Amino acid sequence: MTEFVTLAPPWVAFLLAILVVAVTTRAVGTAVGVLLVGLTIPWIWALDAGSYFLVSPFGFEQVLLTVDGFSRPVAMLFGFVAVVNLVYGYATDADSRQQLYSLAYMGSGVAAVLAGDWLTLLVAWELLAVTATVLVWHHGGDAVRPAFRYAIYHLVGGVFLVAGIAFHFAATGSFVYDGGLTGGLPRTLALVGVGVNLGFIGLHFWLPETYPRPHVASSVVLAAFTTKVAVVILARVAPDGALLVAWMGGVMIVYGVVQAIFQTDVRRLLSYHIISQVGYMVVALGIGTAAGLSGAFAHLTAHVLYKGLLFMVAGVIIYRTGTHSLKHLGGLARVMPVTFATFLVAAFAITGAPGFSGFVSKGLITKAVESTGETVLWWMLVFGSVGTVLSFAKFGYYAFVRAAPGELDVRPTRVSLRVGLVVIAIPSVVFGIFPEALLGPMPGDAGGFDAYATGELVKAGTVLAIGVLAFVVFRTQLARIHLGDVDRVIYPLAVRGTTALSAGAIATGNAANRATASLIDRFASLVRGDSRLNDTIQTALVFLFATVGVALGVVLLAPT
Amino acid sequence: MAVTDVASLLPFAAVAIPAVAIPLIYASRSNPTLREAWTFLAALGTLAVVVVMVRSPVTYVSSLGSLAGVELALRGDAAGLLFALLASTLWVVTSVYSVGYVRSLDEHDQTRYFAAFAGSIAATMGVALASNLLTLFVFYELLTLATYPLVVHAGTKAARAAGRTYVVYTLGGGVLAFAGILLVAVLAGTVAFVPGGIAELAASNSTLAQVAFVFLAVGFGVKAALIPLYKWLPTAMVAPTPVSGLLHAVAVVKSGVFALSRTVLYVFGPETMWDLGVGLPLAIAAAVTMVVAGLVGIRQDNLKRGLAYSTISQLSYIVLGLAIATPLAVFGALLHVVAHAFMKITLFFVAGIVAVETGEKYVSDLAGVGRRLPVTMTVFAIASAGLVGFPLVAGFVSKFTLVVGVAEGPAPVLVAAYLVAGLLKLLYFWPIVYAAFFGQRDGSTPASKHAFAPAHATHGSHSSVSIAKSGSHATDGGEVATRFERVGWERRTMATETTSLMLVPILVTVGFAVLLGVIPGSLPFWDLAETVVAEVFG
Repeated sequence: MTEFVTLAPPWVAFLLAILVVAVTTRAVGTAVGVLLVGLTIPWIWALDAGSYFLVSPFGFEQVLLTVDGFSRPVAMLFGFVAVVNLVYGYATDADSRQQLYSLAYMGSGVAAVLAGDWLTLLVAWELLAVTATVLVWHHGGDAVRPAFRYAIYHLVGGVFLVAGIAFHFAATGSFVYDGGLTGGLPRTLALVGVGVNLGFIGLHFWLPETYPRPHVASSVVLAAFTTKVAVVILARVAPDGALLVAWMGGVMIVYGVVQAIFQTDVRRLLSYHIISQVGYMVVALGIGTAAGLSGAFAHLTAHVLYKGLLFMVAGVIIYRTGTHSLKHLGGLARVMPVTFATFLVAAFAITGAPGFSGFVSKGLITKAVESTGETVLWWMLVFGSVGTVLSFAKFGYYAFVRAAPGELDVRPTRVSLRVGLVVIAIPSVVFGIFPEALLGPMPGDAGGFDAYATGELVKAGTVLAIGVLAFVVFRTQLARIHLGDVDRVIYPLAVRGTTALSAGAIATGNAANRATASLIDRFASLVRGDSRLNDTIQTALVFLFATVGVALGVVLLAPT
Repeated sequence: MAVTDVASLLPFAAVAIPAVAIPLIYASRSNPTLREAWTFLAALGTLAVVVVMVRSPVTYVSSLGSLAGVELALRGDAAGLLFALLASTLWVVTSVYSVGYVRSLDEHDQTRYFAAFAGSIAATMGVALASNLLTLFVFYELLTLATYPLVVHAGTKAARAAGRTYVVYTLGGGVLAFAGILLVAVLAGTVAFVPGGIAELAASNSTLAQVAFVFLAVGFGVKAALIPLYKWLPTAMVAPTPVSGLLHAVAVVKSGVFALSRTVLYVFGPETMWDLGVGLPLAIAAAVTMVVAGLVGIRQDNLKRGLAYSTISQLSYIVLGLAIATPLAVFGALLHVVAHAFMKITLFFVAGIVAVETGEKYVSDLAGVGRRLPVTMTVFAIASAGLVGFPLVAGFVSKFTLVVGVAEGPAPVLVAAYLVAGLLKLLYFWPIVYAAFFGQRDGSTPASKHAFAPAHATHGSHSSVSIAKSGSHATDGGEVATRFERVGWERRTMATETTSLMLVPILVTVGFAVLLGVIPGSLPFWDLAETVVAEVFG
């Protein structure tokens, strides 16, 4: 068994699936892809903790596969999500090419998580960025421009990560993971690079800009990987935390949720919630305690499942009604009962209602922050929770509950769609009812956290009540406010700044060129006697004489 | 690795074969097929000789007699073979492409073109295999003269002006380099290359040694296109595209870089260079060059000029690695000599295909060209990703090694130059790829315009001189884009987009670039670079 599972790194299954999808029909490709990708779950589970595939193709020691408390649960989770995503893509008419790009992207994510050294990580990290771009580009239309910027954001982030890793190597002489990046400059640079993928506020705008645009199945795929890979790498970069990072997490929670509350595009609303929810994980890792670590990975797991489900629900709505705006939706609870039921599961999970996965993971993070004594940070978490309740009350009300404002043309559902929704909804409930199932495999130490203690239930109940109440009170006002985002400042600034710098460099260069040109002309005019003769031969002769002259000069002057 | 010197005609043959091809090419000027056959035979023959030398466990030496008491000799050591193998490999590919290019455009003076090409290769082989500074210098100057007919090939006023600039800069650099060589000869009593530096030079008068280094660095820095000596390179882009591809992205500029690396590694030695205090200024000059050339580059609308600025920037990647002179930085620099060659020649060839097939040479006219040239532009995307430093293409391996090497060197802050230059490359290439696939001809969408430059800006300013120079259609031989095509691009497939004489070469070069990015050790360049580092650093 051991020999069998260590034949190749598990992401090879994704590569094989790509080959199959490339040459067969959509149905066969999806079926074989599901089998191959699903195989990675038992595959990773069967691997003993440790490092495998020590290679050095680029002249540095690399570890292609490392199995530890960080990589094992996340890679298995990714395998599960990849299976569901392939089925969902099939159900929503994604073509073979898109399935192929999805597989490449998901495979890169798995490779990044399983990497055992910074160099391998870097390769997978860059591949993740470019495969995501191609995946979005494949959809065409208004997805193209955001994907162009997406790539720039992520490759700029990659540059910072490269710098951090290079300085780490200069300090330690090795790329292999060994308790985080060197503190100081290497770690700071890497945090900026990882921060782009995490959606640090200020570096975040690629996320709400890109995720609502592509094919509905692509949104589901994208939502699961990029930010979550970054969370795992954040844990690798700074395993003992960093308070500044924790505060950035707090800002992400608040900023993301406030933006989400005001969104009317369903996928854009969910995108801002990614920022907010990833904020919880960043806070949990930033405080650097064992309970925080455990909470971050538990929340990552819960989040991938319920956020994937939410994007699937949004996708089903868009796929079947053709509209993505909450302004035009309504009354879908009766038309799409399965979708509504699974939406409720996901909404309860993300809002932290008792009995669902988010309740456990968010409770643990809140508890972990409480024990560090950072009161303001704690209130940010609570504020985020209330805002989350509010925005999902809004989502549910406008999409499912209220009567439709106009005629909605709803396409019939299909079995494969329902299968995807239900399969991915199950763990959100299971993890809520059996917290140990969620917390058990996670790294860190939950510290005897009891999810169903009275205090936790009261807290969750209060948050839910305030959130729903806030929606009821402010519902009419919410529709009137439109928030801008950082793109309005950053984009014009970036383009103008770059152009101005370049133009400045050219102006300086032109001035210098004119100066040298006149110098050379004066020099050349000395030798240009007969214009009918080839001036180049003359120039060459002059240089020959100059060479001899210089030579004589040097020989005369130099000491013998 | 213990190496023994063995007298042999092989190094001489590497220079002689392309040289012998010149009269043969002229003799068969009335029969183009036979004429091209000589070029191919010479290219394959040269490659075969170099490959034999690479595979041999001993080092071959050919003496060419002596000049003023200094022996002129060719010696196939690891560094020389690295460069010789690179140039001879690419000559084969370029020969195929050249035939497709000049025939598609029905160029005039094809015989002179192929003869001068063979002459340039002969000189390049001489530069690569020279065993001392004087021999190197002789071939270095011959290279300038051999490439001159190629630069002025179009015969227009602009081309002649460019040719003159080219000669003034490169021969002027030669004068300084020669002065440096004489000083080295006087100070050290020898100009022969010694791995790790000439010991007598290190022990000599440090002020004069500094002067010698400055002469050599500035002299060779002209062809390596260091600021402020780079101006001839964008100007020389009036040459036919295969010339820009092989000579101005590989042979000529790499001769400058190679001569510089001989100076640093085999004349002064890394340690002496830093003891003399000249390593840091050279490193700073390289860092400034790569950033400034990158900045200037993003505002170029002319595709070949943009590529020329990219070359200037990339050459400084190599020079910075040499100047920092840690084993890892030097290793990265040598790898980048090879990686950049494969990627940049691909890009120039693509620019040539675009010019041949569509008549366009401005980025702003290329919106949507991916429909017309799907494979060509995909190749462009891969090669440019490599130049940006994206994994799985050759540029990543070499650039990453350089970055790590500089990070552990004496001036780690210069890592920033690589990163900023990389970003500028991204800002230059990514919009081109994006526009090619998603823009529309004469469209008003952001994808259809140049991201940072007004249409047809060549220097970023609207100076009439610059437009006259590069807009004179020097390379098309009168072929001008037919205006009615401008409504949009017809959709073509791989089989019909261009002649296979041009498509196969870019597939080969980009294939090498990817191979070097995935398994860099699979080609002999890796081992040769390792040998160089081992013999220089002991």
